[in-house]
Amino acid sequence: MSITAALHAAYSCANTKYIDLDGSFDLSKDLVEGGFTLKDGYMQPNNLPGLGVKRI
Amino acid sequence: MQILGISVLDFYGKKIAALPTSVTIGIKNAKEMIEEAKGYHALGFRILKIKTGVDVDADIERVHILSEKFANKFLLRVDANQGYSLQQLQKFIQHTKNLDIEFIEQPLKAGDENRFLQLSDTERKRLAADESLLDATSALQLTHPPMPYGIFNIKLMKCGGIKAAKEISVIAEHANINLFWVVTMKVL
Repeated sequence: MSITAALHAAYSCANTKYIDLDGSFDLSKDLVEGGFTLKDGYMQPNNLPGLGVKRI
Repeated sequence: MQILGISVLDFYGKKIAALPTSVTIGIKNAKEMIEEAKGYHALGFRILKIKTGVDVDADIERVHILSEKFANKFLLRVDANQGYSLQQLQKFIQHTKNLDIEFIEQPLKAGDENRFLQLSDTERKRLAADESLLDATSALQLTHPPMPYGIFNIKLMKCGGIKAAKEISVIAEHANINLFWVVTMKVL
């Protein structure tokens, strides 16, 4: 959720040049879970209303 | 904004389509570091952010090892976490100038920004403010010439949310400062 919020804010700024996923994570886990996609190291928010995440 | 049926990003106006993210490697020995980097490369990541700032000579060695081991495979970013003196920073810059290092984050303690004035404009342009940048007020101070940093690190958790982050970003834009967004990855 915090990742998605940061991505939306980041991509709305023309001077955004760099992004970083902070902290290490388990490589075996699925990294993509709602809100945004991660492909070949590129991050993209989905285009759904709000932050594009659903309450579970 | 869900009522309006648009995304937060469309509400503010999308300026960026997609950017490659770096992944962070902590301070660890060369063997572990190389293994971790290999894993990230297999997943498609092409930029590494390396934590440094404990021992400048060991840091120089680590970035050289990564550069040699993964020549042309990774761009590097360095996060020194306030760990250097000015002399150590100058040494790091001097000994890594031929490597693909995009920028160095928070090399000196917050509050020591005046010491950067001994560096050249080009060198300062490649420094990123993290602990030095708390909110819009500190952002404004960091835009006073001669500017110590060319890049602002923005974390939503640090500045207090999207609105506060947008305030900092507007200040930065008018000072020709680039933004580096750090998004916290929590795997539960």
